[in-house]
Amino acid sequence: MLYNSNSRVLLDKVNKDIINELVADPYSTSERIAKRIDVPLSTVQRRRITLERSILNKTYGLDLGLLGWRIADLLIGIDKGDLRSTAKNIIQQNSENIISASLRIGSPEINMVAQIRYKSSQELHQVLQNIRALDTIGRVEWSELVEEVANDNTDVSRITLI
Amino acid sequence: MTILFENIYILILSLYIIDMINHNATRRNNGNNHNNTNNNNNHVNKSLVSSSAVELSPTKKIDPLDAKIMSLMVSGLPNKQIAGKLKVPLSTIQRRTRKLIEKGMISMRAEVNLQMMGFKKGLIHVYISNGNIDQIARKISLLEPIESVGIHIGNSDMIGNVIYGDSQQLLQTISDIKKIEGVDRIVWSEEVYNFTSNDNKMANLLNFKS
Repeated sequence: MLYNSNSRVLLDKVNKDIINELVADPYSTSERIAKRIDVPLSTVQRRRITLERSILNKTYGLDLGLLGWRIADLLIGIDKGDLRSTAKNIIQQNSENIISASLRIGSPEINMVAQIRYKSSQELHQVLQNIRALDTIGRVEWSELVEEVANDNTDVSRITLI
Repeated sequence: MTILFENIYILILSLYIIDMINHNATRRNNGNNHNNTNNNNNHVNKSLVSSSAVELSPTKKIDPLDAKIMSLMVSGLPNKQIAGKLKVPLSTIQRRTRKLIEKGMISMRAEVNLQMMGFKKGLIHVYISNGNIDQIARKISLLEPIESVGIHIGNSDMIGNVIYGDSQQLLQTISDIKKIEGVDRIVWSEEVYNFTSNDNKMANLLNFKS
């Protein structure tokens, strides 16, 4: 048995089973989950509410590919100045293309990664040019997503590793 | 005043979606028309004469109200609030959202906030030396800390999202990937600060350029 240190959510087998069911099928009803994991319906309903208010995020997303967008990661090396202010500047300048951005440690040459969307290679080129034009930028590389091979985030067994 | 701005925002987002979908539909229809002309000169593509609804494919249509609903769903509003904002009966919103989900126009995802539970989030860029991209990607995806793997063009050949509890686990994952035949080199990075909250990211997705 384990508690999440931030919000004191009990992470026992029942909660893990509920999380696994909901991650696998976010539309699953509490009745169905109760039957599948052999737990009383009232328990599932009560615990589900607690989980959805704490560690289980449910969001809606669009199929960007269906809408004609391509997605790429930009690997950016900020050489000089304040990392956060440069990153905010990049986000502001390219706000129509940047989906998300983060500052990172690890690679000595890359300290910011931004996920962008674009319709054409020209648009990608323009974003790259905008970023390279900044004085504080050392390098910019890009990598376009062409296929998602796997996504196994239905597995919450890693929670036991804490 | 705030409500007025919110309504204008929703209207602009919706117009972006419609414009984007229109653009795609026209492009696809042009492609269809080209093929149809080659096959049968007398054939008329019905989607081109439809003006009330945009047709993405024979099974996917969207109209302005659906676009507005999608904008608000992605912004995180529940059906009841969407109905209130758009002044449309709740039953209509429920029916339309169900259909949008069935058509694959929008989808719900549930995920555990592992970072909130003390895990770290990283990216592993993998460069390969042979052509077995699919095979290597599948092998990497089977490693426990790997959340997902994407095949890329451009810089690295694939990028894996990794969730790990400590540096030893990350080191072990990198070591396991390096053992895979065909892997040339690896670059990794750990997220230390994220600029976009989930809500903002989702809202950004609808900020389409016309």
